[in-house]
Amino acid sequence: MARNVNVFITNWHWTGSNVPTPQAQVNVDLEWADDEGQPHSWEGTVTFPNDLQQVPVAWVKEALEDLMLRAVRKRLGINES
Amino acid sequence: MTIRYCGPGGDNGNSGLTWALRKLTLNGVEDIPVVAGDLVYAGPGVYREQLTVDVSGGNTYSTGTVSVTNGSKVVTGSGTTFGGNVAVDYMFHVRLYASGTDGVANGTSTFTSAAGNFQSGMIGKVVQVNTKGAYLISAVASATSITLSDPNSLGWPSAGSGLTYSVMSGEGHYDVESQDSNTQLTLPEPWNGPTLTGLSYLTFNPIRYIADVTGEHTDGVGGPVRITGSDNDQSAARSYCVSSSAHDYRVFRGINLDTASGRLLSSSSDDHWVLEDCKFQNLDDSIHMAGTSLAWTVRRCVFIIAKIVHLTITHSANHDDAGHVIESCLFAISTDDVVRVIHVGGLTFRNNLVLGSGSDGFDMSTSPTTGQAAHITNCIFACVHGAAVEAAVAGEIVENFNTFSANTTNRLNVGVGASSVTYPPLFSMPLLLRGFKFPWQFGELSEWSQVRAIAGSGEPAVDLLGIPRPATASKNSWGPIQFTDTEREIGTIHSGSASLKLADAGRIQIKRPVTAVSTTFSGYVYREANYTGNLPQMIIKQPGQADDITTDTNAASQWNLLTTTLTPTASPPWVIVELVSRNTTTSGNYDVFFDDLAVS
Repeated sequence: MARNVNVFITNWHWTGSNVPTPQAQVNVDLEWADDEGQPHSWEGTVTFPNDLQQVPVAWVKEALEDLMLRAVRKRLGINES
Repeated sequence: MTIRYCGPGGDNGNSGLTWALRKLTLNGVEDIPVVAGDLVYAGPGVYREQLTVDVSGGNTYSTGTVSVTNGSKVVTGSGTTFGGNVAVDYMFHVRLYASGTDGVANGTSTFTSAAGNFQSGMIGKVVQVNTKGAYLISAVASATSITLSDPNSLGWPSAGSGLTYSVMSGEGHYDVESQDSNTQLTLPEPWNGPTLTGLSYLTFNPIRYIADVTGEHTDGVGGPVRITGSDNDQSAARSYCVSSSAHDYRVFRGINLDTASGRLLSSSSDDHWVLEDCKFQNLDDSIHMAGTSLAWTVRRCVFIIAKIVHLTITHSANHDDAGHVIESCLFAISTDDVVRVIHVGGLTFRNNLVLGSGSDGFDMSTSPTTGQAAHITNCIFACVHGAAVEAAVAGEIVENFNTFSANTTNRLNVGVGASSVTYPPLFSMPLLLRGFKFPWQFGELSEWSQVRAIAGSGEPAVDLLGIPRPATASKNSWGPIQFTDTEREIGTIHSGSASLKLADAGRIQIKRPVTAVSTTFSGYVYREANYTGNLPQMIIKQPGQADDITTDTNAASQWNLLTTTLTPTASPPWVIVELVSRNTTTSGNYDVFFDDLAVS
């Protein structure tokens, strides 16, 4: 497990959108309380990648960066998982 | 200046001009309305309201230029008429050391400006060259030419002329102690920045809200002053604790803010705010600073628990040379970033502790104008889940003299500072003994910490607690709290079996109850032969009163009596006895011992 990791990410650009990717679907049962303490719940189905169309591109970029960094760190043995 | 009061037991129908006739609420005072120069004492208690800031301070003055000298309280004006324009309790601020639109780059480490703004005191500062990048000034060849260093490996700025550039001061606001003449002001604290001349500046007359935590101005008892967004301390009932839009020149000191459904402090385009000694814990963001805000000083504040971000500095478009200074603060535990910056440049972040972030530590998440940057020094970043410092693009953060430990990633798109380290902070841990409660300061460094005495860059003169740091750079601590090496000594004693040892420059404080009668404080001091610098002191401190200072003027290597007699004020009913070593040497024997302290 390595320590003191410094990372540089450069040349970020989208390279295309028509790539085959596994598709997934989960059933979500979400419960939460608002600021007044009132309980709420929601039950539904969330799909990947279809539901990503609803989030800002910056979110996708950040999540993809994290995923790509995590993948390369595991490959190099910097992180175990 | 009008002094106004608010607090529990008050009535908003009162005048607010005395404690007996205090307003009930903060909004009750605000809506009088307060005006420039007003000083509001908030009495101890809980304020379950959202303070909506309605007015600005003012009386601004910026004609001419000033010269400042490191370590001096005197500000000398040129072309100034301070008389009638500046007065005691105004504030003094320098946002920029240099700026211009005639910068010339030639693809080398040389950068020039015919305006002649450069001075040797600017070495080590960041020069922001818009469209090119942020660099450090490594040498000043002349007033028109500097040599750059490239901490982010951007490469030297490509050839260009008519470049907009700036050198931020990185200094926060100072109070004005006196206006001495049309060309001289005196500050209560020495100028902490470098010696420079010909600086643009601003003075203004603020509106101050001061938490009277000692009770000396209000209820005579003291205690926390708390603004909360909750009505039951279980859930939030209001969006904010303090909100403001386009109201400038405000000071808040000593206030606790907590439990809002939105931000604790929601600001939009407010200039020259000073937050000192404030504490934040929230269900959402702590501070959200939006718009074209200029020159905030956030110093000696504690941020613990934010559901999202502790401090967001954001604007919808690029905002250059903002001049915000965040120093000597303790940031702990946020689910998202600790500091998030969007489109804003010209920031200084120094001597802060960033501990336990769910995402990034200091995140320039959306790029500012190319060349604009944040300068981060003397900080401790530990246990950050994301990147401790992160720039959207390399060059937006210049970091040096920081330690990074136990972070998932130390730096993302940030060059490694030449003097930064990866030492664990090694905090002081509580002394746990079943059945006993020993004092413990969260975030204080231990004797084993390798950043407890280490040279940094431009440390603030005082730490999180407002206690002066040592004069010698290598004896200063990184992070917000200055370490003082105190030990129980059993070898060098005046009488009895033990004395108190200060192993190097530092200060220790002992609280002592008193009454308003003539009281003598005495003790013996012994300094070893190689002690160098200003001599040891015993200082009797009481809030609101001038310090009573007794200095050891006798020979080294012997026990010398320090004694003073004074009559404390009745409120608060205690004093602090501060024992001080001001040693500056780093070789030989320079311990200072205190023994047989007595109060009679």
